[in-house]
Amino acid sequence: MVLLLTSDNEMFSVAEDVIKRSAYIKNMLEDVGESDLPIPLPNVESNVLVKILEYCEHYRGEPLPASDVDPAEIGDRSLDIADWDQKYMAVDQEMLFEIILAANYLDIKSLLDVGCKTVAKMMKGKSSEEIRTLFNIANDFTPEEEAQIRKENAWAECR
Amino acid sequence: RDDFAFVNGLPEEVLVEIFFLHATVMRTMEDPKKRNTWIHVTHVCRHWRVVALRNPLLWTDLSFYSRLELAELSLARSGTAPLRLEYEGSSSHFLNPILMDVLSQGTRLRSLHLSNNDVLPKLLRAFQDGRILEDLSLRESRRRIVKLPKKFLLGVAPNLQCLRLIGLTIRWEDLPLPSGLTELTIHANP
Repeated sequence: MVLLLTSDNEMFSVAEDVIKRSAYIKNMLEDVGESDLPIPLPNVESNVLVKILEYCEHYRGEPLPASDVDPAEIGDRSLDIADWDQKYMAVDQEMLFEIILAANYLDIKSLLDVGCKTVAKMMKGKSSEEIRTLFNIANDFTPEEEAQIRKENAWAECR
Repeated sequence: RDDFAFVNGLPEEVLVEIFFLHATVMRTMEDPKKRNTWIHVTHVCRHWRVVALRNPLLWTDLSFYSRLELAELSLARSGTAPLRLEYEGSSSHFLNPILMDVLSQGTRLRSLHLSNNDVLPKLLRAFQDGRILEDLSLRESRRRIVKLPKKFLLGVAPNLQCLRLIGLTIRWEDLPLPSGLTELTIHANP
């Protein structure tokens, strides 16, 4: 078993084959070897770790994903999300972005990928104003920047 | 930045990945009008715009723009990164100026698909350096006679893996056929 200590000082005991989906933990275990000391996770709160472990438990025994996709191969990316992953990601926005941050920190590529795809799909077909509303983002452009943007928008929206 | 915009707590590389995926979704939409609108991510807030504009790889696919101005903007923002171009038929003739521009700096082309282009012979003559070209597909299905230029790409495209020539008049000795070529398709007029 592996001990994990979250940022809010909660301790978790997790089976090694479950948490090894995290490349960060896997590498740490390989580097440090067996230890009774907990691995501190200063960037992950307990409620988020619970969610992360739910994902790792679900995919226990599944092969780890292949190496990174070259971003230049943008045209070849699949945007499919498995049914279970879609249900897993049906959380409020705060938790969604916490999961993505934790997946990034813990280096769980498949979970990071699902998180990014989920956000990309939320943005699908939306105008910039609708994206602002969706994510509660303030419009902080200067009037000059707005003018350039209006021009680009006009190009983008005509055929 | 807005303190309550959880999305803006993401590191830049993650935000860029989301932009990539969003662009992929939008570029495959059935409605051609929607395909340009992935650039809305650059119109959301200053942070998103800065992140998108300083990542050249977001701008390297020039295939889906329906306005020359947007294609030019994309080319300018792509810096020196490898480019991907896919233009179908005469409906994209207004993009020929940028096509000529890109082909004349052919060292940046990683993937090129052209079909039924009215000025294909002129474009191919301008394309003389395919050193990073991996995927080339040229198609002429309107019974026009289009000859592949002599010593096309000077016979050298060391990274070419996939070559498809449909409906073109070719001489075998003019083809760039590197040892890494894994797919070769040659058809006469269909």
